[in-house]
Amino acid sequence: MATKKNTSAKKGASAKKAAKKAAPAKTASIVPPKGMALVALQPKAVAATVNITFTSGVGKVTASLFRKGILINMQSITSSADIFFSDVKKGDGLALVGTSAGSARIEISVPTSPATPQVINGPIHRSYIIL
Amino acid sequence: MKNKLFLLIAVIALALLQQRVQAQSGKKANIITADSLATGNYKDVFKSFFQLAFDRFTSKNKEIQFTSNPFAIMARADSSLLVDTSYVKNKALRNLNFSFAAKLDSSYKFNGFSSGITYAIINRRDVTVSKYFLDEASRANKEYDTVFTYLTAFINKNAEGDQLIKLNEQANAFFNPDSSAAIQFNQLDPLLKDAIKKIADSVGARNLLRLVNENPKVNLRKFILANYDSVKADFQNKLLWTASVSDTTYKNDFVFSNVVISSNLVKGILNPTRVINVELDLKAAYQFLDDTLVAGRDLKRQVFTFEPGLNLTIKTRRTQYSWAEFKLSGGYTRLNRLYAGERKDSITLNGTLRIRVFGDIWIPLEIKYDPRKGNLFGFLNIRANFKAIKDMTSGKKS
Repeated sequence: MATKKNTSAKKGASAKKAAKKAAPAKTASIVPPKGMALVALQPKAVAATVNITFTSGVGKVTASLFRKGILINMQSITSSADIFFSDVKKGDGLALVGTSAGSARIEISVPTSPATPQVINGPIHRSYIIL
Repeated sequence: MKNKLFLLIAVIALALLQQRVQAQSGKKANIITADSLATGNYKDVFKSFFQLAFDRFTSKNKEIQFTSNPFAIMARADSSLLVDTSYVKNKALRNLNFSFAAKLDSSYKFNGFSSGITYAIINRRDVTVSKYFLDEASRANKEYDTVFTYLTAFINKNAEGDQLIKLNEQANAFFNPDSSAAIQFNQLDPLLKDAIKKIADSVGARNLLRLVNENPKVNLRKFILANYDSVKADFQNKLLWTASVSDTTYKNDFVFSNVVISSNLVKGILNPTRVINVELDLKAAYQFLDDTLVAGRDLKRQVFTFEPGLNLTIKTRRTQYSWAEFKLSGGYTRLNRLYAGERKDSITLNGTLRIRVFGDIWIPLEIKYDPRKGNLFGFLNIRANFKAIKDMTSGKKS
């Protein structure tokens, strides 16, 4: 049979549980992966997609993304594809180097200088500044 | 007189038709493509888009022939087929040619219908699907690729705001620009000039360094394209081997009067970048014909022919356009059923002179000489080749 003391003790325990549930998570104890931390630290960073379509023949391209002269991402494709950069910023430099047996159409999803889309025949040497 | 008039009308009509097709595709002159590098002899063996031919119109048996590539026709209607992922998958269609022709008699009256298909069993000249070509072309321009990438990093590190945009535009205009935007080395910002020299020196780009040191007016596009075109030209010496089946019907009945199974092999021999080159051309055919000595219509008369030859091509140095060709070949013929005055085996000496009269219009003059009988035959033809499927791509040019 439950006594008054026991009842108040139970009440205290359930109140503690409820308080524990309602309390915000201790953020200091969560350590995000290094890559995520970098993204979070970049102000005004956006994702960008470089769409490259080869027509009338095969082609290949290597895309290198530079920030303050440092290579931060490099990807290569050997057929028409989207190259995805999760973190681009104003002022980043994007170098596209490659070859197409026919022509290559380049379209970047963020504003760049020079503007895209561009169609290039044969050898590909193009660099873009993210605006 | 009638034949000369026909020749003149045919050449003018084909020239106008070609100009119309080129104007629609917005083709610029003197751009080196795999199609422009192909010889007239190659285009007679295998067509990239389509060809109209008026054959033997000075003889009693004339022919108007249309040959095309089914993939090129499909791509004309649906340009998404030209995207590499679809383009590579349609290999069988790209390697196929089909043709049909109307035979005409001496008074230009219908004398039978002809059709045929050709399949390229091996076509190593097709750079458009060759990963090896991409690797070789990249290797040829490797030092330009490396310097350009490092230069992008340099600009990104050392410039900001408007100067960043300006230097980036200059780098693009110096390396591989649209011809209208090209700038010379001495027009570059001093910061870029210095950086290009230092980067070229540090990565061992000796050709690039020599070019900018020797000629301050240099623009790299010409040299990058020359390396690329040189690799492309190398492919024009590679092997093409085709197999064909064609037939001809009677003029008054849809029954075969002639069936030919043939094979053709073309392979370049000398350096393809030279002004004068030589192609090996081997052709073998087995023909089934109506034996007119036997009543009724049959295909019991059979003829085997073998024609080994060498095709001499003369090209322009700058554009690598072949403008004149002369093919010298020997012809061996073996018959199974002989008519009066015929020999079972015969040998002829053949010559074909091809002159590119306008754009992609060729006039081949065929000459056959029978050394045993001393007979000489000549046939005059016209071939108009229409441009390859590359012209069909649309979009803003860089």
